[in-house]
Order: sequence, then C-alpha cells, then structure tokens
Amino acid sequence: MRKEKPLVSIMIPNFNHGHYLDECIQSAMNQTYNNIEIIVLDNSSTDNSIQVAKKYSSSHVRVCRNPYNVLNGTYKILAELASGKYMMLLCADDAIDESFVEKAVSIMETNSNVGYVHGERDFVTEAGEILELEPFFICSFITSGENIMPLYMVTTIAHPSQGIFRTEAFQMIGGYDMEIDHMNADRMLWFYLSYVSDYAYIRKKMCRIRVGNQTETLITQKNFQHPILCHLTIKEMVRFAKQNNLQSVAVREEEALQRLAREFLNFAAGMLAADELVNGGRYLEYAKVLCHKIEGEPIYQRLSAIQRQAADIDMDYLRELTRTSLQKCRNYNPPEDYIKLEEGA
Amino acid sequence: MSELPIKIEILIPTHNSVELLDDTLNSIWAQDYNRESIFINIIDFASNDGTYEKLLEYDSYHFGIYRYEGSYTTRTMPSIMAKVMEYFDQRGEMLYQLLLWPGDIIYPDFFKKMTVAKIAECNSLPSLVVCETDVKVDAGEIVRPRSLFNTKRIIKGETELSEYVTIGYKQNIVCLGGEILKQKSRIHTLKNERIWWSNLLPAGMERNIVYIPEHLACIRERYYDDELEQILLRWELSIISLRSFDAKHEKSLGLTLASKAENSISKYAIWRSFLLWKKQDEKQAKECFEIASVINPEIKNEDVYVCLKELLNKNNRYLTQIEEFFND
Repeated sequence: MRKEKPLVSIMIPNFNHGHYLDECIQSAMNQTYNNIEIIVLDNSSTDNSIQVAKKYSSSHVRVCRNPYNVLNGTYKILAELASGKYMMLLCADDAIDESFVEKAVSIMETNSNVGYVHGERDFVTEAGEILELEPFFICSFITSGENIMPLYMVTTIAHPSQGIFRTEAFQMIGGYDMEIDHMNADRMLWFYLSYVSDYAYIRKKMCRIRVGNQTETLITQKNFQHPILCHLTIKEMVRFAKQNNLQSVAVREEEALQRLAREFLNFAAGMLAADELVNGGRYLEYAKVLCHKIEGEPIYQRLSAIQRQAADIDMDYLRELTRTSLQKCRNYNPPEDYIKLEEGA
Repeated sequence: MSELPIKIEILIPTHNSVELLDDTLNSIWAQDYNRESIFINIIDFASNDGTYEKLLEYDSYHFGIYRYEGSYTTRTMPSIMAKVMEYFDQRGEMLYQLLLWPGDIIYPDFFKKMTVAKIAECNSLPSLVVCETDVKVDAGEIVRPRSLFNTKRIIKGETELSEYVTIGYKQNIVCLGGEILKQKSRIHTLKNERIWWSNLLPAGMERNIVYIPEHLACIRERYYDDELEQILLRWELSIISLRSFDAKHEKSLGLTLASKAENSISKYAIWRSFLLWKKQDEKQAKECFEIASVINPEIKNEDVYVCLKELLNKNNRYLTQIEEFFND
C-alpha cells in the first residue's frame, strides 16, 4: 500500500492585502508537493480580500474570517485550525517557490531530528521589483539546534514565510502560547524550536518577501511597538539561556544590544528622512539606552546633529542608512558541526 | 452576608516563601465570610526553603496544594496556576478569583465588602471589583496611599478608558473577580498580575469595573528583577491595548490617549528610577531614567526629571523635592 505523504498546512493570515493575495494563494496552490491544506484567515479586512480569497475556496483551501481584527490572536487561531504534520505561516503579501514545501518536507522526513527548515529569500517591492539578496549562508546544511541558537541573539536569519516546521516540535515548545511575535520575524519561534530540534537551511531562493511603506513593521516602528519587542526579545533569550544553562547564547547579550542599537540608528534615519524629528530623536535616545558607547560613533553624531537641526538634512545619506538595514551582511559560514546538503535539495 | 453563595477561589503561587505564608493564610482564614465558600489553591514552584513542606503541614478545609517542577518565571506563575486549576470545573457556580502573593494580606472585611459591591452593581455587569490597598515597604512600615477617587464608582469601559492612563501610574490595587488567564504571552501575564491600576487598561476595555476607595488589603511593595523590562512591558501593553480597541471598533481613540499613556509610563519609569536609586541599584536606576525620555521626550521639561538627573549625577540637593513629588 502506498504511504500517503504527510499533510502540510499553509496558514495565511491576512489584513487588507487583497492586492497581493492572488499571488500569495496561487504560490501556495502551485506547490509540487501534493498533500497541502491552505487556510486563509482574514482579519475582517476592509478591502477586497475576501472577494479575492473566496475564488480559491475548495476542499483544500479554506477561507475563514474573524469577526473583527484580532491582531496577533490570528496566528493562534490559525494554529488551532491547522491539522498538518508540518506547518508554515505564509504572510499574505509574500509568495513561495513551487518546490519549497517538497524540499523542506523531504529534509524533515529524511532527518527526524530536524524540527524546521528555512529557505532563502529575495525581497520584492510594493511595485513588484525583485531585490535580489545574497544568501545568508554559503551552502545548504543541517546543524543541531544548539549551534544555531546563538545566532538568533543577533539576527533573525529568516522571515516567517521562509520557514516550514514540524507540528510536533511546535507543540512541544508551547506553540503560539509562548512569546512568539511576528513583527520580530518569528525569531522567538525559531529560537525555541532550536532548543528542541535540529535546523536545516536551503540556500536556494524559496521565498519572496514584500517590503515597503505600508507593512506592519513600518507602522510598529512609528508607534514603537517594534523596537520594544526587539528589546524584550533579547531579554527573553538571555533569561531563557540563563535558566537553561546555554552559555553560548547568554554570552552574546552585549553584542546583541550593540547590534540592536545600530539598527535603531537606521530606524532613526528613516524617521528623520520622513521629517519625523521627534521620533528620530526617540530612536537615538533608545540606542543610547541599549549601548552607551554608540554615542561616540560617527553615525550617531551625524544623525543627532540632523535631529537637533544643527546640520542640514542629507536625504541621500539618510536613505542610504535606511537601505543598508535591508541589505545586511550575508554569505556566512554555517555554524560548527554542520552536515552539508546537496544544493539541489 | 456570610450566607452569600459566591465562592471565592484564592490562588497563591509560592517560591521560597516560608517566612511569608502565615500572614497571608491567616488573613484569609480571618475573613468575615462563609468558610464553606472559600477555596485556597497553592502551587509551590520548586521551593527549596521548606515552603512546600510547611504547606503540607496545614490541615485545612478547601485547601489545595500542588508542586510544580517545570519551567516558569514569576510572570508566568499565575498562568500556570490557571492552567492547572481549569481541571476544577466550577462553571455554573458563582466563582470569583483572587490572586494573592505570599506576604500580601487582606483585611477581615475584604470578601464581604468586595462581593457586596460587585453584586450591588450587577446590573452594570462588572468584570472586576477593585479596591485600594496599603503597601508594606521594605523597612516594614505600612504606607496608605491616597485613594484615586473619593467615592465608590463604576469605571465604564466604553467611555472612561482614560481613567486608567491619566492617573495612578504608581497606584497599587487589589482585584477580585474576572478570570486568571492561562496564556503565557506578555500581555496576558501582565493582565494576570492585577496589582497595578494602570495595567487594568486591557481588563477595563469594554467592561465595567467597580471601584471601592477603601483600603481593604495590604500588599508587599513590589520590585522586579528587571525593572526596565517591566517598563517596556507596560509600554507595550498600552500600545497593543489601544491598537486592539481601535481595530475592533474601526475607530481611533486618538493620539491623545496614546500620548497620555506614554506620559504616565514615563512618569512610572522616573519613579522606579528614584526607588532604585534609594536602594542603591545604580545600574537599574539609570536604565529606568534613560528610557523615560524615549517613551515621552516631553518629560525632560518636567522639574522632577531635571531634579532626578542631578541626583543620579550624585548631586543630592533636590532630594527633598523629589520625595515630595512622589509622595504627593
């Protein structure tokens, strides 16, 4: 008797992304893997999202709707509705390569210790322009979760839409009941999953992540929800590391705070470029809270002068700083003790 | 009034609390309230000072004891308790929950007055009844803060949300009723703490809360291992709460309420900074002070900020003014 392939749940939370939803849902439907359930959960959008989504409603595409916008509660509801052995959260403005699910499931079916797989990404602008990025790592690989955990102190590695995870591992860590915050690219989810399972990375581009002015990240940068979350994430990781004797994680606290401080300088630049001098000043202050030494850095001093209107606004400089935050260092070596995967995998 | 059918479930999380238990438990057993209607459930979180052994010695009616050895933080203790307690299905019976921490006490008429107040206002369907509380500070002295309001009142969730953000940034209260939540996310764990007036914002949204101006309890002064984290949590709570309200009702409460919340939280940060300075915790004092102007840049114009800045720079000349400001 032929063994049926395990079910994969693709969860798509949506709020007012009707203009991207066709591409997103079609990318999920066009997967080469043939045992998928797709759940679209609309957060009571005010655009044409439901009209777009319900075109696809079928036995394996469920279109659901919250009675009002429940913000982050949506992810928990999606997780309750999903029944696959593997799951992924696909953001409504993103899209995935047709081979992503097949490749990720193949890795996890072959390697039972692997709890989640990341595929590489490009960015795509609101206008549809692809911004190609160098891959994060130089090769595809598998490594123990303990080896990858320290990296999450200083970087996210992957966006939510880049990850497919084992439901069993997800439930083991408490699922979305834990402090999983999608504004922070699900960094805590990857971190907790790494505590209970191994990690796999696919270097091939598997995902297109939308970037632009209307994203939730920009809204939450303006109301400070995002920086608070970034800071609390580091605190939580340090606390978890100390409680579980993960020295390799805990020792990176200072580095993590320094990196975050530099990121806040980029946010400050964005605010100043948008003529939001007060918010720009707040980000500069917050950077100092994280790392006092940043006050001596040339970028800080120049931004501070702009904010105090002691220097002219140099839009090219500000835009360059903001753009730099999207194109960080890439092509890292994998952590120690990794097993290289074939690049076709 | 002792014939009231309302059952009260008191949840007490303990960890190395052997010196503090007696006061709390004795204050419950001294209540002028039907003993049949009082249930005490204690979960001991891996104490190693004899707390658990002492608990086992109590031979008392309606007294549940459990031992927890899993992963937890102080903030998640109530959530874990709620998860365990859900197996006691008392739905269908009137049940009010009270969270008490070791060392906190309730005065003898606490249950009587709180339950009567909630029932008296039952037409308003209040979710919680809240009272003022004395605070036992480090030195053992009991301080009675001024009440937020002069009279008993209903705080209406639809129209009086500003009450939670414009006043009482350092006010402790005690709550009876509602439900201790099982979820462990930040917002839920902050909701569960239920000892800060300003953190009642999400609990008060769209729900009426009965307020009693009397001091019916005495809680221990609270300090946190990471005071900066507490400030960030409070700040995040206000942002999420207001966003959630706007999202649900497709309207904006306006920048006014958000900016008032930020003003209140930045004052809280300054206050904590001062308390930490008094405890000679210089690092945390500075962190709390610095975050205040990130939350609300306008605070730099306030006298208390300027005075505290001097104090943190080891200039004590404004100490009296700062004390007076926070004692006001």
